[in-house]
Amino acid sequence: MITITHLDKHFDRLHVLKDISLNVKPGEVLVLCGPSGSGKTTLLRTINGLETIDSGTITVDGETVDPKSREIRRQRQGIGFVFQQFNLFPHLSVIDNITLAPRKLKGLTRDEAEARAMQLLDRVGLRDKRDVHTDTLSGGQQQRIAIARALAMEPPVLLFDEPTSALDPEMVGEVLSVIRELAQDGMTMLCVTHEMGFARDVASRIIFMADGRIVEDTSPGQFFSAPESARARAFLQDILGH
Amino acid sequence: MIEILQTYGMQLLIGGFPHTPLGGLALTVILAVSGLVLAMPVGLLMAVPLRSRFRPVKALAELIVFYIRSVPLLLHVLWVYFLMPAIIGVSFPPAITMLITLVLFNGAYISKIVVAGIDALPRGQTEAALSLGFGRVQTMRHIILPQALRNMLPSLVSQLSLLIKETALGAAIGATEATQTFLDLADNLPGQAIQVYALLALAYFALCYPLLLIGRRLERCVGKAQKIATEPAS
Amino acid sequence: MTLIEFLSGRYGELLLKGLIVTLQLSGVTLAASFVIGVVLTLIRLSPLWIVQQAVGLLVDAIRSVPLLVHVIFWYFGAPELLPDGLRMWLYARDVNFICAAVAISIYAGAFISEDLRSGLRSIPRGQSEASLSLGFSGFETFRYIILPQAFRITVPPLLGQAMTLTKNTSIALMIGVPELVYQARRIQDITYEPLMPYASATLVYVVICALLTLASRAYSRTALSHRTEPERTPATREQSA
Repeated sequence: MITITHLDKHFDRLHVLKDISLNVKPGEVLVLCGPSGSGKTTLLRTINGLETIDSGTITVDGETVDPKSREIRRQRQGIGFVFQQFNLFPHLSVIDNITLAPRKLKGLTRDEAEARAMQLLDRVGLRDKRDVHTDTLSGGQQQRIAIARALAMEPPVLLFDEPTSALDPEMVGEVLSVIRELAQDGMTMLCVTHEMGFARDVASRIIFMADGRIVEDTSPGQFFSAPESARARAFLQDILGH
Repeated sequence: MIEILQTYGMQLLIGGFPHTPLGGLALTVILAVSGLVLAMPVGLLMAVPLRSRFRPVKALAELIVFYIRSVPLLLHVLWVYFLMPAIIGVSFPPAITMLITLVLFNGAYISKIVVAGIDALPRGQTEAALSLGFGRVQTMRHIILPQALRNMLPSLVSQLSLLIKETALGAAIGATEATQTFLDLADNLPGQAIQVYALLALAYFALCYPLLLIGRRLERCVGKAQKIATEPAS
Repeated sequence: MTLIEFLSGRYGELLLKGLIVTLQLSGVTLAASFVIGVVLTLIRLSPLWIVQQAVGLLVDAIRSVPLLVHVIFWYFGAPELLPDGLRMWLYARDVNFICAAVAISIYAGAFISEDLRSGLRSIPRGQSEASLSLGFSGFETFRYIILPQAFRITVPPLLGQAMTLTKNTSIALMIGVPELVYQARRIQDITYEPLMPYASATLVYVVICALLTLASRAYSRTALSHRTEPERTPATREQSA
């Protein structure tokens, strides 16, 4: 589904991604973790063409992703992205946030788009928020709307960039349970997160990154019980607080 | 244009000085700088009632500032020029009239800048100072004002360039600042009037554009410092 | 003589004529300066570095010169540069009003373009990223996501510019446009008494500014009230004289 080969990227002099290769099969849920500055968010953003790359290739569904090509817009429609800061459109109501892209990009009528949006609102448990302004919602609600907005384009792949990092602790659960249900439905997903309990339950693979490299690519069971690298052991110790 | 500068450059710079009072660009700069220097304390003083917790005082101060800001500067100039003598019996030369008007007018604007600068600081600053045992006045003097003044610096620099432009209205009452001086010269050189106007515009550009750039640079610096101070490192 | 008596006589009539000229000049220049501001802003969005810099410098240069000097240039200087036919056409009309309107529109247009630009720049990057990630093009992102938000936060500064512009039309008296302050001065020349005419003119400006301030507050309350986070209002660029 997603194939990345020998990917390299610099920010000025900083080498943020070093020779990354990765293969994601349909229905897999990958959790990307690692210390801050390890390049996991940048890697996720390159898959959506939000960052340019220096060398290497990214293909999604057999097509090369290149932010400078004309195809990038059509490709992005098939790669949903959920941001750490939600980035809902504050000048639009909840329903318009969800329906804008399907109406303008897929040519759906307002009725079609809204019918579909209502199903998505049901799915994220926010049917009653249909007409409110996004700024009146809590962080957890905003993030669930952002997930619905990404799903409205019916993408085969969803990318999550630390979807719960900007949330108050009591709202983390409601967002994770939405993502969990998507995983059960067989959605292909890549998720950058520090929620290790969630990773253990939901991930089919854990990708551990440090200093711009993939250090471990393994099953959750393996990763949490017997991590191979010293970096991963140190990371787990810090984050789990043993 | 070079020719005009060679012949009349001195006149444009200082007017008829020393035979007449100082004029020309020199008067423009002196009016603007002294206007700002005097308007600062006026603005700080006016900021006190604007932040008063006693409602009638605050409302009155707001009303005065609103009045000053909603009337054209030109009309203020005419008020001071024609009515001050009628009310207090003393008439001032045009340049002094201009200075008085500029101080009051800019004092009102600066008072708003001061209030905005103070309100922009996080409440935690006041609370931290109070919790250490500082009094209200001490907190203002040692903790709040130094920070607020630093944040205000870009606005004050732009205020100076506004003052330079505002002095041009002195021409309305015959103050011999730059615009009046150049206009007089244009009258004497009918064939070259356009060149004189172009020189006048260039002179203001040379004075104000650097201030604009400095103000912009300061804004970036202050903005960055503010960001570091208020945003938690993630 | 009370203000009411003063205003009900022939002086009131003169002041009313002045007010009408002030409102006409304000209306014309407000519309024209908005168009100029939008055009300048759109040109500045050009991807060409040299175009951005050139327009930026032009805007800064216009803002660096006092409005009075702009007015003097357009009235005393510019017509001489015109071809004869056009100049004859101009002088056959209300040349003072036209030249003042041109000067004020260009001056205010430069300030408005700054407001619009800082409005555009105040929209967080995440907004365009979210839009791009859904598959919108750069133009569609600008049209559906950036522009509507920028417009909403630019309305209060624009009302502020309208206020400043209205006050600035008084500078047109320097080239003999018979607006409000011009008429007040004329009455003073007739009666040798400054208080009544200036008080009347002052009152009119205070009322105009009060109305515009109320409009701005009402707008902020209704259009921006649902915001919980602090509004990122771009700094207003005061036009001054």
